[in-house]
Amino acid sequence: MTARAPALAPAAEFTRPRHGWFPVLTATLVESRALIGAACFYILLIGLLIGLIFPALTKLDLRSYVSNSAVGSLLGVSSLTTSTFAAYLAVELYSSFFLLLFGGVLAYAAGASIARNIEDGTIDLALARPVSRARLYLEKWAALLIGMMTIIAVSLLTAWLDTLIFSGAALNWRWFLLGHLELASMLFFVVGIGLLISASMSAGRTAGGAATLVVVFGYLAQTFGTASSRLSVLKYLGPYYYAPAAQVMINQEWAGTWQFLLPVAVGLVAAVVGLVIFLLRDITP
Amino acid sequence: MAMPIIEIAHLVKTYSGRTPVRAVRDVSLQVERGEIFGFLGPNGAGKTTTIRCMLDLIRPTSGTITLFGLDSRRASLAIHRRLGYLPGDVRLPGDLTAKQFLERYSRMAGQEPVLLPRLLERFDVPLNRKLKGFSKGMRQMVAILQAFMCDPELLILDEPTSGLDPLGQRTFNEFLLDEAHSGRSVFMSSHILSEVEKICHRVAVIRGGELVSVEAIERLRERAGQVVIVEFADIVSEAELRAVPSVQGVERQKAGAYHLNVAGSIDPVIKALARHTVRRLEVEEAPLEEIFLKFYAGEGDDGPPAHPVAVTAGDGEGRRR
Repeated sequence: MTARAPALAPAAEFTRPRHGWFPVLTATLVESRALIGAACFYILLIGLLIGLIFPALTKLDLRSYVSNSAVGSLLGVSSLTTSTFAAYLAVELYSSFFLLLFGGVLAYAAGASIARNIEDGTIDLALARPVSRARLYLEKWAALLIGMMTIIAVSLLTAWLDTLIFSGAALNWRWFLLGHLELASMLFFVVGIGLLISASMSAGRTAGGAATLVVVFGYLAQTFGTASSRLSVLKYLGPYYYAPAAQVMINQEWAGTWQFLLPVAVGLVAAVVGLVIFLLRDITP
Repeated sequence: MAMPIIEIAHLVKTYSGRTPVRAVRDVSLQVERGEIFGFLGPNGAGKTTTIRCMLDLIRPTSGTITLFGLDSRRASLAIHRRLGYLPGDVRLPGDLTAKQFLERYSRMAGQEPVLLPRLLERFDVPLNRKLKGFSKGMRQMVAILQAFMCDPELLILDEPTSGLDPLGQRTFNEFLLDEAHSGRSVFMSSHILSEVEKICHRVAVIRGGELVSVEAIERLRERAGQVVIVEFADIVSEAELRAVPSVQGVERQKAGAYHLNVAGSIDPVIKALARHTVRRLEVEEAPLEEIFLKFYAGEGDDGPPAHPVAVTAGDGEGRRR
């Protein structure tokens, strides 16, 4: 091959590498930007749409609609006691049916995060650098938590925009924020489970799919558990029972501290077990 | 004596599962500083497993690996600051440009890509194009750049010229030789035997997870011997040529023309040929490819290796004693 002058002056074009830039975290955010972005876009779209059609919604009797046990079970809202903007927003964005979407997106991103890099071999390049497995794992975890917080932040921003733009779109921020705390608890659980699965597998799509299946299973358990008294035990198996974000916003009633902490604790334990597995396993595609 | 840059002692790796697979069996070898060390073997012989153990990507079942005199597991970060690695089969992230990809991995190294200008003089890579549009050879070049760019003391390369065209292979080999002259050490696996023969100082051959030979290329050349191409003006029988000491094989080409495979001293051959009228005579070094292939097939491992070689197969499969 003949020596040719490169098209660009190479060294000058490269930004000076810095240790403090968390390169794995940045790379993970870049890799999962499409999924997280889609979730945020969905929240923004639905949130603003609810604000726009809220005056029309109040003329409908959504309470009787939701009080139907089958519909209530599918949506994951057992009762709709008021016709406030917060209540409609909660049904349309924070009931378990919709958390299935956000949770599923985050579960897929978490499940694929490590396994995809093992599958395509790029984790070899990272671990052949002075990057420890623990650091790689923790940066991935941090990136997913940033993704989670982005979803929550966009949700809060959307609600705030609703209150600014649309008349009658008033919120009791205290209960709205507490509802988001429940949402965060559920998503934290999802990230932990996703990382555990990702650390144990070597195929990105399979791991992402498996993590999403956990969220789907939780939703189905919640739905059938609330729809039928004979199957009521099922509702305790999913995260939605422990993190009833919509119900907190609608009823303005805290579900209980232990209920809030349980998904957080399980998510934390799952992520730590995932870390131990990742530290011990062979990295083989 | 200087400490070897790589020292593998009694490395064993067994993959657990329903039917455990013993991928590497008691492998021991050393690589000296400034050496280009070739690691050869057929597919599934254990080359990549050994390399991944060196990088702490796979945990050995038993045995020790030290690089720069440091334990490959306990001091992996200190080791990885000083080495460059080229995996055998890497799929680069297609949504990044070559420049973004190289920046990402120089950041992970926490080092500046000081060698990049020199590399880009040899390997013409469009930095601002997305990697998904790159051919296999171009992607391999980008992977080569990332391995070398931060000026590592030791390179671990798993089939580095895979996917490169002949011109690219030659450029890479020339670059590697230049780097070795400047004191860089290289451990590389390869399937291209002619490439190994040209650029490596020593080679190890692994087969069925066991090391069957570690030898200097010069010594292998001695073992391979020479090929004498001779054409006689008079009639000489094949049997007469076979009877000459140090002639290992005789191939008749056409009437009165032979290829003689000579191992050891060529003197008896010259003396025997001098009894006849010789029309044409050529003496060449025998290609090492044949020797390598014999090792691959399990026929060439009869000589004592230059370094201690593991011998316990443990499963009675009848490999090397």
